[in-house]
Amino acid sequence: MRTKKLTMLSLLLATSLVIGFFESLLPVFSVLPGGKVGLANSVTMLVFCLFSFPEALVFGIMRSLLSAVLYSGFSAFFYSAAGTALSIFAMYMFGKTFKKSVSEIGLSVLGAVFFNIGQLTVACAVLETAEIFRYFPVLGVVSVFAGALTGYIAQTVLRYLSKQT
Amino acid sequence: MTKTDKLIFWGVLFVCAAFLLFSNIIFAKQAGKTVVVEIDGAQYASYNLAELTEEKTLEIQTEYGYQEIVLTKTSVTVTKSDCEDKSCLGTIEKQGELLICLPHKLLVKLEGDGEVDGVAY
Repeated sequence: MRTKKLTMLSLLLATSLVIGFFESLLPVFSVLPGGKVGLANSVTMLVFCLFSFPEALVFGIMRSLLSAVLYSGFSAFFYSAAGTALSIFAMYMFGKTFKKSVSEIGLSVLGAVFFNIGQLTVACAVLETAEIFRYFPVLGVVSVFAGALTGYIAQTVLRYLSKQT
Repeated sequence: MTKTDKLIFWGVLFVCAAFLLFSNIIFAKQAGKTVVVEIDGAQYASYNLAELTEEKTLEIQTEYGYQEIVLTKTSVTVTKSDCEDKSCLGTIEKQGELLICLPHKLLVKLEGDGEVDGVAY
């Protein structure tokens, strides 16, 4: 990998971890481990838009791993890794199909929803019960708003960056 | 923000809100009668709340961690847990409500009439 790309991704990873850390300090009602607004996901979104699917996927998984080790607790890793992988994959497929008509905001909303679907699925497997999906409607509503916000942030940063070059 | 964005936003929101309303109306929330505690997918204990004469405290120590659950005639509360995020702490009173601790693989749920009065495994 080119050094510039590696450095940029590493810096972005560090940034997302710091954002995530501060978010984790906020006392927010969360049903699942690490259930937050997920502002750090705007960085993952940024990586997804600046680079592509493989980079974003690796980035997302690294972020899940490191944030779990650093502050969210190791068990959180499986849930957020599954969620991130599913969400990035869904965004990629949708983005490829509707390249012309969808923007970062729409993709991010989808990403957020699929992230939660991924998390709930893993939780369902762990607890061996489908009861956990009871949480889906509430999580879905929250993730729509969170995804829109995150996508808007990513979009704003992207536009700013393209003006710089 | 494009038209497709708005479509996704409102579409998903609508579907989730619909589910939410649906489940609240169809499954009228009755007071919980039986509490079931599951650990790692297997039933750990189950109690009929109406049979309780006084508050009962369950002290559960598993390989995943330690937690305390207090049962009363009308509610179930997770009072202590040594997990990292503590999202499991809280009280549930109605059927269908859940308390979950993922690090501990703990699931506490309230159901309607069970068949047992009190079982511990």
